[in-house]
Amino acid sequence: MKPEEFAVESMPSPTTFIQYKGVWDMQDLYETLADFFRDQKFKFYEVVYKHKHPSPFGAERQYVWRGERNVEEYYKYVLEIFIHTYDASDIEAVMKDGTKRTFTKGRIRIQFRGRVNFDYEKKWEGNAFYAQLRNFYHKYVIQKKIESIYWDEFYYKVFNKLHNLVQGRLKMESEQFEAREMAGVH
Amino acid sequence: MSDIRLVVDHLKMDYEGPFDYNDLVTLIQRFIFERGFDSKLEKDFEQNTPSGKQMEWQDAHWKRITDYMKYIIRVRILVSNYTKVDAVKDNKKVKVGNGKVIIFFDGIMELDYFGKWDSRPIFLFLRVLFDKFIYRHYTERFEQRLAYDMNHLYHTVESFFNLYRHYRLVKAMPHFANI
Repeated sequence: MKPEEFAVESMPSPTTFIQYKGVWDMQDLYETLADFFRDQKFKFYEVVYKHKHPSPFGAERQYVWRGERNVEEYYKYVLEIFIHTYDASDIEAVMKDGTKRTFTKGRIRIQFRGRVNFDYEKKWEGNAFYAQLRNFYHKYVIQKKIESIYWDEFYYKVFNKLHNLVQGRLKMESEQFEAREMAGVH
Repeated sequence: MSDIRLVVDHLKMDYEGPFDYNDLVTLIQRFIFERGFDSKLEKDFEQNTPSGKQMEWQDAHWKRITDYMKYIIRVRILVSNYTKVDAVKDNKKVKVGNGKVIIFFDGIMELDYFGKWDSRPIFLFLRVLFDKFIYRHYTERFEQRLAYDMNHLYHTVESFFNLYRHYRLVKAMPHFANI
C-alpha cells in the first residue's frame, strides 16, 4: 500500500451552488472576486476560460477560477469557483447619470468548492513510516484543531463570505450571511 | 451506512402575501445558528421572470449531539411570483416583497454517523438491539428534543409571517385611506 493511499490529506467543505437567471454585471463580478482573493491573501488563478460558439439564444461561457493560500507551514486553503453561463448576451443600459454600461443577460450557474489541505509541501510522504506518523497525528493529536479551528475558520470566514459576496453582486434576494457577526479579527 | 430516522417529515407551511424574503432567510439561519448548528447551503436558485422572481432555497444544518448521534435540520423554501410592491404600515408607505411561499421542514436524526457499527451483520444487529431496547429512552429523548426545536422553528416562522398582517398593499387599499 502506498503512503498516500491511507493519508488524510484534505478536509473538504460542502459544495454549494448558485443559479441565477436575469441581468448581472460580469466585469464587476470578476473584479469583486479578484479583489476578495487579494484581500484574503490568496493567490488567484484563472484556470479555464472557454467561449463556445454562440447559439441563437446567446453565448455559453465557462470559467474556472482557483485561489490558494498557504496559511501556515502545515495547512493551506484551496478555493475553486466553476462558473458556467448559458444564453448570455450583452445588453447596454443607461444609468441614472446618463452613462452607458454593459451588462450580461442570461443564466449563470456557479459552483463553489473548497478544502483545507494538510502537509501541502509533502514533507511527510517520504516513506510509509512518515505517512503513518502523519496519519496518527491527524487522527489523534490535532483532530479537534482541524475540525473546529482550521476547517471552521475556512468555512465561515472565507467560503461562506465568498458565497455571500457573489449573491450580493448578483443582487439576489437571499443576500444573507448568518456568520457575519462571528467574532474574530478580520 | 448510518441509521437515519425521520423525526419531522416534510412539515409544510403555505403563505401568500407581503413578506421580505431576505428577512425570512436570515431569520431561519439565525435561529438555527444560535442553536449551534453548522450549515450547508444546498440550493440557492433565483430566476427573474415577467411575473416576478421564482426562487428556491435549501439549507441543511447539522449538529453533532454525541459522537454517535447527529441532528440534521433541512429547510426548503419555494417562492413564486415574488415582486416588490408598495404597502402601508403605520400610515407610512414602505416597499415590501409580495408573493407566494411554501416552506418544508425536515428533522432527521442520524445514528452511528461514522458507520462504525455496520461493518458486520452481527454489529448491525447489536446496534439495533442497543438503540431499540437498551438506549431506548436516550434515543427517544433526543427525538423529542429535535421535534421541540423543529416546532419552535415552525412557530417562529409563523409569527414572522404574522408580523406582516399590519402591512396593507397599496393596490388593495381604498382611495380614501389615510397615507
